[in-house]
Amino acid sequence: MNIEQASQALQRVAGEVGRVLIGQDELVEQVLIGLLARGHVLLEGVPGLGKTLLVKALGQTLGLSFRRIQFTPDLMPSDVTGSSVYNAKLSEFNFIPGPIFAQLVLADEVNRAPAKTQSSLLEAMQDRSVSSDGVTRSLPKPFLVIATQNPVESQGTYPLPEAQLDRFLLKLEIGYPGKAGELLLLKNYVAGFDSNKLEGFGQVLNEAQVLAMQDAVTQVRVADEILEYITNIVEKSRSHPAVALGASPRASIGLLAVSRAQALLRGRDFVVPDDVKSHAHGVLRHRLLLQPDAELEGTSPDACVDAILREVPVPKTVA
Amino acid sequence: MSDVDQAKLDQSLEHAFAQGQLPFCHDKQYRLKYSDRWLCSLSESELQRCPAFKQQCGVAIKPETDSDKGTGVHVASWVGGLAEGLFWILIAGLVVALVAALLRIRISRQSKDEVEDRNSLEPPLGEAPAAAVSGDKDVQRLLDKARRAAERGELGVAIDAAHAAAVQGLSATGHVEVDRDRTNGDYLRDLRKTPPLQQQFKAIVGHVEVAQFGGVTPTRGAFDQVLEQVMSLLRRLAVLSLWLVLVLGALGCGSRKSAEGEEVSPSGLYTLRRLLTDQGAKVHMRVAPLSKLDADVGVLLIYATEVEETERKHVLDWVRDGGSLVLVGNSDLPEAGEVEVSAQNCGHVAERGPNAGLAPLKLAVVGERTLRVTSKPESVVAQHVDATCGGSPYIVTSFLDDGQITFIPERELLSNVSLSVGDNARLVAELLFTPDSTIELVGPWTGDGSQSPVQSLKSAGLLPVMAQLLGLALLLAVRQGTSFGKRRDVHTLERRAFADHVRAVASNYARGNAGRLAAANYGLLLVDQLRERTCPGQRPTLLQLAAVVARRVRRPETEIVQLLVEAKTAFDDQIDGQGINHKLIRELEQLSLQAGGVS
Repeated sequence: MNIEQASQALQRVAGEVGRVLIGQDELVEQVLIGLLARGHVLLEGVPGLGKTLLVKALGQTLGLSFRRIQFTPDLMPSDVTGSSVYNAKLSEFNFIPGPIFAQLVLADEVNRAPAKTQSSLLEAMQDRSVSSDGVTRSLPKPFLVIATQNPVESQGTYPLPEAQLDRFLLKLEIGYPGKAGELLLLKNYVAGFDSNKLEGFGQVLNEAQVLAMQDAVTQVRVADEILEYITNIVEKSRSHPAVALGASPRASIGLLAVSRAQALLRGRDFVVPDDVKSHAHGVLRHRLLLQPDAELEGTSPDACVDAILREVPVPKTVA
Repeated sequence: MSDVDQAKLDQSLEHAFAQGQLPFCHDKQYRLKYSDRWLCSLSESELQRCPAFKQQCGVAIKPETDSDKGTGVHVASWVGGLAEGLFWILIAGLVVALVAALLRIRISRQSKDEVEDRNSLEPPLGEAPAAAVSGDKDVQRLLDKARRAAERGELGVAIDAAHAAAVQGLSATGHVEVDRDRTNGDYLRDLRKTPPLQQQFKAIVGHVEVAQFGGVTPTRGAFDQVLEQVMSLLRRLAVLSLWLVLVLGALGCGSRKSAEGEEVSPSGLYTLRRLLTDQGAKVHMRVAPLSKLDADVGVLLIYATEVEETERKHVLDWVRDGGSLVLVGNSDLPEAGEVEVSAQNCGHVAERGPNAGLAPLKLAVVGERTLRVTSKPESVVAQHVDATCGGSPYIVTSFLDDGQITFIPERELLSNVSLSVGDNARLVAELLFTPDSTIELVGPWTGDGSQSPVQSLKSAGLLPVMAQLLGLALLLAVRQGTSFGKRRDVHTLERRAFADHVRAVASNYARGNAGRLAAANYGLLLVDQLRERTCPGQRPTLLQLAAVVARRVRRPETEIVQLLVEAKTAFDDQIDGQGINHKLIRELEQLSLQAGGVS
């Protein structure tokens, strides 16, 4: 599959998902980029914006298996990863895989489970394998976790620590679809659309093609100027006065990966500065720990990223 | 009275009242102003050159409202002073800015040319020269640079320069905002509202980025293609700019129409000026004050305006020295010529004369005013009645020393509509025309000019243009911003009160839902403090500590043991705890105070 074919197929996927998830085209594209870059995505948004529908539709369009885990305070690590159950007939322990053994996993309200359970998920995300009873089992490929959390509700939640947030390649904020989008959405429902039934929803790609595209991303060319641009951005995040803890080298690698994935999505075999800049917020916003003073002033991580981007000149600037 | 060329006069009248010259003359839908209603008495005259005028007078003429008048804004005097000050400051600023810009351009051009020449003469060995396009905003220079670089074979530099020319062209026309942190994607997003430009620029960007980041060595063909696309984009921008200028110009010109409208209205002076000009006279609308009159002025016509006391003397001296003054509808100077204006209705017909040497002329007049000769027996002022109305003098010429003053009581006689009826045009031409001399018209427009630049602009009909320019400047200011208004110290570090830091930390904990953790740490700190205060330098067990504390605070040891064990258990296992035990913390605080105080 060449770059152009890959780009066209991905556009078809985005278009197909966009048919049911109305007014969230940008989000669909960013989640696809996360998948191509072999990362995981943290979605932050109020309930009712179609997060579950997005993952379900994506799974169906890409021909990938899909599981949803609703995180609750009493959720145990074994509820996520699976556990060994004694088989009396065979007199042995059989491993029953948990919901993590799927290609697309929706970890809904990930901040509602205690830290131990969160850690079990995040370790699986990082290692792409699950260890239980001394046996390490690989997770299926491709593997993408889309975790969600509600930015408003804080009672009875266990916020993810910074170190664990770093495991997510992208943190995306979902907004409302807009008036026109919402109107179209209602019209869809009037016409009989049911988000629980996605029959007839077209499969555009299969597992092998998705894996081929993930491989194709690594072939996308990155000029030295672009590498320097990424380095400058990440470096600047560490010296920014409002930031106590800047982005890690993992952030640099992540920014590079999503930039390549975006280039592929756009049908290019090389990265341009706009690929980097347009994903800087998604990659950096959850990795910056702000100074208490900045917090006090109401500065947001996004505002810091904006300031950082303003200070770093793009390669080949004409200004 | 001078002889006028009758053929020329007829021809001049024919042209003046031809279709399309004076709107009221042929347009039956033309609405007369309320102030022009007096002129309707002239519509009864036998000889009419404006066929539509009579019909217009047949329609009821209503008083005009303020909006009909469109007289503009009443400007307070202090606004005028302020505007004048600002005007001159603006002019001075513009001149300084212009000089500075010219100098800067010259210096920059010299230095850049030197650098370019050096680059072209001494190309660096081993690698292509860097693209020197950053910061250059001159589109033409960038294009020249692109072509020169292409000729030298530096196609990468050439493509960079052509791309920069496109971006700067878009910036100059306000379509994009150029900054060093902006990408081509940002410029494309700026162009979202103009899809044709966006498409053109997208095509350029596609080729440019391949050359810049695609690892492909640029070819001459690729450069030519980029250059062609850039030129096409710049041509489109030029057309857009031209269109904008034309629209603004047309809007500005539209406002002149009202000023010209006054001139060609029934009461205007267009015909008078044309008649005299066609006869060979030079007619000037005098703007300068009357305090000094040039020698070449042959006739001074003061039209329906008051002459200031200080200027009257100058004017009369000028007359005595041989000047010819015509006073029209003026009540200031008649006593000098020993005549006075009389509000006597004389009917609507006047006649030339009595003058046996000249052909009789029949004039159509409003007839609301005549003149009365007031000369005394001992007077040395000679007088001549040029026309009478109802037996009373209507036009009188008084001779003062070497000069003369001609009195016309009604200004309507010189109006466009008056000159279109009867023999009025001929008589007026004979009265005013003096071969090879200049006729100066003095009216409300004469004096010391406008009181303020605003009035001056208003008089010149330039207010709409200035308003448009101001609007444009405001739009630019809103879009581009003002550099001096930008805050540059966004992240200044300031020392804060300790309480602020505590609040910030608490706020962080609260936002991170880590209140329980904070409370637990505080509880453990209190236990440590008890240990430090009661057993300094030792590591006592809880039971040992309880015994020491109980002795110090004089409370039962079992009570203290229970409290410390509860605290240790609750705070060590705080992650799985069900909430903050505030009561326990308060008790520990109390105990710590009793044992030696909380630090």
